[in-house]
Amino acid sequence: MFTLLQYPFIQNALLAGSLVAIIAAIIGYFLIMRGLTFAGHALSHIGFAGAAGAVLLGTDPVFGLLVFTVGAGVGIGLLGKELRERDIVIGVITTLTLALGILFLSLYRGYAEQAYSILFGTIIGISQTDVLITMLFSIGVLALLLVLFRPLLFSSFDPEVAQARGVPVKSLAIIFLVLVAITVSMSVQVVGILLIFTLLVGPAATATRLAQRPLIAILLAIVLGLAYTWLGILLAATTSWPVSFFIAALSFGVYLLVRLLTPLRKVRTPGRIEPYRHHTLASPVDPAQPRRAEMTGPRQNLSH
Amino acid sequence: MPPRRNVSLWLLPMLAVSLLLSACGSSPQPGTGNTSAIAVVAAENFYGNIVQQIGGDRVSVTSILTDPTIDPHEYESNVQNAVAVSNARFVIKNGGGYDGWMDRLLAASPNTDRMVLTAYDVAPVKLPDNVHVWYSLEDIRAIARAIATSLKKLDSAHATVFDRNLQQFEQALMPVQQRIDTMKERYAGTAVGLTETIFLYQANPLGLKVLTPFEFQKAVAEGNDPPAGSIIETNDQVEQRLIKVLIYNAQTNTPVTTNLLNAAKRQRIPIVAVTETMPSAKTYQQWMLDQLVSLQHGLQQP
Repeated sequence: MFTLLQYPFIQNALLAGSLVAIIAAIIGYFLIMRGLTFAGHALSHIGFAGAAGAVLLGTDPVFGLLVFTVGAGVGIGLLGKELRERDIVIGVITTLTLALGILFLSLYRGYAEQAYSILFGTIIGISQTDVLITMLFSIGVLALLLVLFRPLLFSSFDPEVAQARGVPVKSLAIIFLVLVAITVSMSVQVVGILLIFTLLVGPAATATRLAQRPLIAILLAIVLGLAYTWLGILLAATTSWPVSFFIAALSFGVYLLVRLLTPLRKVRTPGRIEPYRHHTLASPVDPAQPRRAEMTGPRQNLSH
Repeated sequence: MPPRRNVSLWLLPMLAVSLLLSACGSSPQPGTGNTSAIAVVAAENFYGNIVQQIGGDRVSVTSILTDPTIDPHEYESNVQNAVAVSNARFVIKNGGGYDGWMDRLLAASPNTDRMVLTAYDVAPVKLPDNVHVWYSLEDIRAIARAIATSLKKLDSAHATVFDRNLQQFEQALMPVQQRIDTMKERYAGTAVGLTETIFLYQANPLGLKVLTPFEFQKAVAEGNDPPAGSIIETNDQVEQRLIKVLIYNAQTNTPVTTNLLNAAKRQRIPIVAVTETMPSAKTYQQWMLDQLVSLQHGLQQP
């Protein structure tokens, strides 16, 4: 196994894969807490059109990915808070952009191999330049996440109180979605557009079923994401099956196992805003230390 | 937060990173020294076969695309391919956008000692929107010469061996050229249909008249749906028996081409299969000759 590590393409794959796994895990945690996992999925599909457009224009697909996902992220952030309507609007925009992608591909002279290959990831074809770009963007995302960690956590768990306490919830939502967009664009290299959930949501979903405290859940998600990526590459090296398949299988398998073995905790209640009503300005809430008695859970979908 | 638990969570990634860094210094050991065979990787097996014929036992060839039953455009490279490329001293690929996955594998394993030959770049005959240069005998002769030149650079001690093998290969191509010439004398001007662009490189030297709209062939080659008008026109040519033979690319079949084949069968128009990837058990020249013989059978029928 260690003979594998001597190959530059494996080193590149591990390096880029690890960076992506880390930022995807953290972003994924917040996606779950904010009920935006569907948006993460949608952004990857919207990004596909950007990549196809970039191929059509003769530039790097990753550039097209970034432009389209960031644009879409800002758009989704500006859409507003009504969750139900947002899903529909996101769905409509996603299908339109996918159709645009098909158009771009049909206009392209030649077989748009670069566009098709990002559907499932190109992790063993990552060059040193790609690693550098991934590193730059990942460090940028990590730095911003570090700076914005507390306000982001606050606005994810308790948006009204956060707003009342002066946290710029709206701007934070937009910045967060830009970070999601960048993370999605980088993750596409590893698992591809169609399997983005496996690194973006899988580890975090598993972690939040095992740990309640945000920092523990995030750390667990990172460890899981890194493990899936490394094991995925190792397993692909010993068979001739694709890396992205193994990452997806691990992500799903572990999530299924954890979900079957851990009952849904009593403290989690489904639903929206009502449980927060009894928080008043007089009772400060520290987002890093959710009080057990009042831990009614952030806005989440019914089951994830 | 219990500190011990935190440390143990970080230990695994830290251990992994330190392992990675320690391994970063070393580099792979490709076959060095003139006495060992040159490790060659061919993206496509027909190029691999030609390198084998010219290099003889001075080369050790690994071909990646070897299956004539799968669509080569949809190929996803795996770790074994990446390892082979990493260890190769000579890589031959078609290029022209046909095998972008090979470009990625090359970029992921940079190696200044490795020689890369892109067949499309050295091919003198290039048809528009058509990268299948290995179907042109004239291009193959140029590519074979380029292969011999590359091998001589890598292993100058055996230059005479490579020159001799190159001559033998060029002679082996003569029966194929002769077949093309005789078929041209007999069947020039005959109307045929093509499902895809690949056979144009031989249909032109054969003097055949290709009726199928180019947009149809190009779309099939690029994995898109052909424009509706071209599908109608192509099907009409079959229904009205305007073409003598339908030549189809067996590796790029879609529902549209399958419908066309069924229509041709109903109209009792001879169907000739050609492949993009070479059948593994054959040599390049045998493959081309066999296909031309099938085509001649089809053209001969009343």
